[in-house]
Amino acid sequence: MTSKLTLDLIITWTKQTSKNYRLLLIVMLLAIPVSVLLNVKMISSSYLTPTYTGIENYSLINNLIAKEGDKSSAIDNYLVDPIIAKWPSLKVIYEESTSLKLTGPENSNVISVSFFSGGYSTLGINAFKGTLKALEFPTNGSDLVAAISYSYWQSKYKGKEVINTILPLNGKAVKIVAIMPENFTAFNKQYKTDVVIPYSQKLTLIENTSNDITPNTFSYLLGSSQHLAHFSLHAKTYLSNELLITDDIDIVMNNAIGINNSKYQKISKRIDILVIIFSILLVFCFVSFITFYVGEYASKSNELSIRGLCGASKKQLLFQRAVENTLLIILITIVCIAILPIGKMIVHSMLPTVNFSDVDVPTLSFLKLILCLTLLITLIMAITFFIQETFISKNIGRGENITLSQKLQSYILLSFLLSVAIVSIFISLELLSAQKKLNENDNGFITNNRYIASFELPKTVQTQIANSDTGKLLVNRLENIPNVQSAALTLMAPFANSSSFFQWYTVDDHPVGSGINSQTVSDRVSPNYFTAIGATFVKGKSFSWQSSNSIVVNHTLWQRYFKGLDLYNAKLIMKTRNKNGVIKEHPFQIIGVVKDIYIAGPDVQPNAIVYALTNFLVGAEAIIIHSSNDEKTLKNAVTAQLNTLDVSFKKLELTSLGSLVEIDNQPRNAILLTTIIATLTITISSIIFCLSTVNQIVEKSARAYAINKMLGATNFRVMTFEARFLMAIFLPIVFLSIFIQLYYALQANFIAANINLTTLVSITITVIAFILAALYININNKLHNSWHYLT
Amino acid sequence: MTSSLMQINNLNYCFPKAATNTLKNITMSINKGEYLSIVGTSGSGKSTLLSILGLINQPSSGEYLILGRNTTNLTNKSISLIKNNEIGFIFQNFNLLNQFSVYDNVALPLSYNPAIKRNEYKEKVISALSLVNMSNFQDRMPGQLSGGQQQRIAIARALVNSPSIILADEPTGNLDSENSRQVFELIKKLNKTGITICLITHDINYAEQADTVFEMQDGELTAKKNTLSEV
Repeated sequence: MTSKLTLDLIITWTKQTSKNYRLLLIVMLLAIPVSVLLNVKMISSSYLTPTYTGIENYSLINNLIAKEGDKSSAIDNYLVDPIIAKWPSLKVIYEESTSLKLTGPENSNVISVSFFSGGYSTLGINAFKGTLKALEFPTNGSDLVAAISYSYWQSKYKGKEVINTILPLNGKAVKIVAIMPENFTAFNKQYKTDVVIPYSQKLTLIENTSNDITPNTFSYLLGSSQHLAHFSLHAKTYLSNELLITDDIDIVMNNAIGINNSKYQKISKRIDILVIIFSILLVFCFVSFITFYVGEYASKSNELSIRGLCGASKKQLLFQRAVENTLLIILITIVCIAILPIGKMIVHSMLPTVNFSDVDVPTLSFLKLILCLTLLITLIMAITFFIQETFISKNIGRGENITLSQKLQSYILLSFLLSVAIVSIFISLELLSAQKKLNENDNGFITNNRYIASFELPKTVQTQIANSDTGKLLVNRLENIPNVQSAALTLMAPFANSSSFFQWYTVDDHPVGSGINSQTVSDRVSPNYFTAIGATFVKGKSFSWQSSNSIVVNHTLWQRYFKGLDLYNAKLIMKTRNKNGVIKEHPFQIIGVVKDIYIAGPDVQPNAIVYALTNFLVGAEAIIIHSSNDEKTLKNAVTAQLNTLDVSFKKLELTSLGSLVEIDNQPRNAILLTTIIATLTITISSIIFCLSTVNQIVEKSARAYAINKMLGATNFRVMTFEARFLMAIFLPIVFLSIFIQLYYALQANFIAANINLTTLVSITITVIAFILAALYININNKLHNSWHYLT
Repeated sequence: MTSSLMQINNLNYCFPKAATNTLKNITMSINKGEYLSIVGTSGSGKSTLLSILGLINQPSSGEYLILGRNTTNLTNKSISLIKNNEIGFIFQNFNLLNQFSVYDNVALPLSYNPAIKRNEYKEKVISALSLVNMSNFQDRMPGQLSGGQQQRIAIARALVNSPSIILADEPTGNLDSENSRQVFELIKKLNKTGITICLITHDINYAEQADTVFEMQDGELTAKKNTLSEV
């Protein structure tokens, strides 16, 4: 084809498209969900295949989680050997990040250390300098070795030679054997690692510790994707049959690396919701786009016929279609790229916990998505073109009546689109209702006039005051401040992301917490904590300053282990280990069951929590204050009280609990708003599409209606005939399509298994009533002017 | 001496799946510069004959020569080139593209003419529009014009590639009497410039102004007279 023709076609298309506002709107509508999904994909890639770890072979590593009810943790050490015995090609890796002190003469800094078992060569992590061989699963007792991060090497050693030099860490000599690759930042999203040390050397490096898993420990499984898939399918059965895990423990695997499981769940949950909303919107916009494209066929077909009369050959007309389709796809791609920042804003509003500077732009994913979209659009256009060319006869210049095939095509398309709209509206309403419930969920605490105060306490002071009654003293002094109703200490203030663990067991030695060592979420609180935060008791009451052997548990824990029992019979055992490793058991009487307190927000199910008494301060506490004072007055008063206790209290921060809840509610509100907007968009588009389709069909059938009327048919009979014809096509397609869509929505866990049939049926009936009403009104109008269509 | 532009010998045409021929054994000749009209009742086959003359349909049997070339042996590319260079079409319903401006509508055939460069478009379009007295309307959209004006734009489009013949199928069918008169005046004027005209019309008054008048009846060309009174 000549360049002249190509240029002519491009110029003509550009002129036409710039005036075609409907097409531009539809392309824009198509681009919004695409750009949001692209952003979601970026976040998923960033969190699921984080490049900051330096790992090249993501397919060979899976996060391995032991899940018991709502509890999630790394798998226990004792499971490693049986797993390896059964799946010898797999390796279990542990990672734990912590802070350690440099102890050399010129050093006193705290650095961030990551204990990592090994597997560097398999994962494709290659040292920038030196070798990581010594860090590959070293045996106990081998020399302490470390690899330092590239950034630490640059900042601390200014890029000088460090291999085989000694790093004095925690009083031990650690030999630097390698520098991690430049793209390595950490194995854990929350830390910026300075030094990597083999996990097996944790015990040697840190005294008085154990190899027990902690909430900071991650376990991973390393191996080929086939072996990982096999393990994923059979692990639970095998480990249960071998009596290594109880039936209520699940072995879960996912692709996340270095993210706390609850954060992963929270992010994935929101990502899932975003994917649902915008996938629905994308499908809908895509259907609208195709409908628009098909609708444009009549004028396009006319144009091509006229071009044919003007001397265009078949090849040239085919070339024109190809050029126009390519230009359309380019337009969609450009709009997608232009709208990408809007998508980012939408996603950001729903995932505030995600640091967007960490999110990598997956160019390959973007190209793949655009390629898929291109292929899909081209395919649909080709099919449409073929069908219309083959089956729909045209008679240019002699006027037109609707043919049966055109009517069938329009009704089928209308039925399909409306079925998508019905399911979309249904899912959106379900989402709305779920989000509304979450927003209305009882957090288990009261926000009104509640404040959280946090402070810093130097380590030296911590030791001085640790054995005194400072906690009690502080609480008493705070409660003496005018207009302070109550004040209390806690280790786990709401939304503070702090946690504290102790080993709790039931009297029959069943672990209450995760892992074989029962790491149980345990808060140390002052007696009036529950009053201060506004929590209510399901049964029993709080402890007093004197009742040191009493504990309070939350409702989740009570329901799990003591359901149906009296408080009198409810006891828990706390196990502690002394310096020699001897385990000591301390029995505690449960004297109260408090309603669950959702300290991480309503969409994170609380763990089983034990509340025990604290008399003294360890420096990690937060203070919950119930006061009618304003924030500034209260802060001054609290600072004064803290200073009377010890002048070393620093950096007092006072935050209203209400503002924290508001921040936590923001993403849910954003989801709620987006769902409403998406639902409205879908509903309005459906209405417009339905009205215009019915109008077009009726307009083109007007002459046939008029003839029927002239021959003696009543208006009602004409309308009934058309309505029957429509319903004969509409009902089977809609019901089948809804069934298929719901089946896939259920498979993908987009909707709850107990489908709310009342809502679904109501929406369907409303849509049917609407379409029949539209048909009735349109036909009635035409029949009023029937003479006009006959003359 | 007149030379034949189009020559039809014993031509038959049958629509697909139709039982009988729509055009039966037609023989006719159209000479260069001739003004010819075809009259006949509805369904007599006038438009079908025009579609064959315009190379839109191929005859079922018989011979059709255009500029001495037998159309049966022509490739699709050659047919397109002939339609582009030698034939201009005018229809009852104008067949303008409503989403294109007047200029773009008239320029449409130029895209498919390999002999014309892009920088010649403007001159060609304005010249064609001037012939129909519509050069001031090039930026308008067809919807903004009256029926007569739209038909004049359609004529300008038919003229833009300087064709040898214009095939006009009921060009005044959608127009009032004044606009019809103006269009026929224009057609006559074009014929005087040397363009061959083949006109299909129901209007006897206008048909009789042609040099040659054919009558179609039941697919047959039953008469050829020099004036309608003789038909």
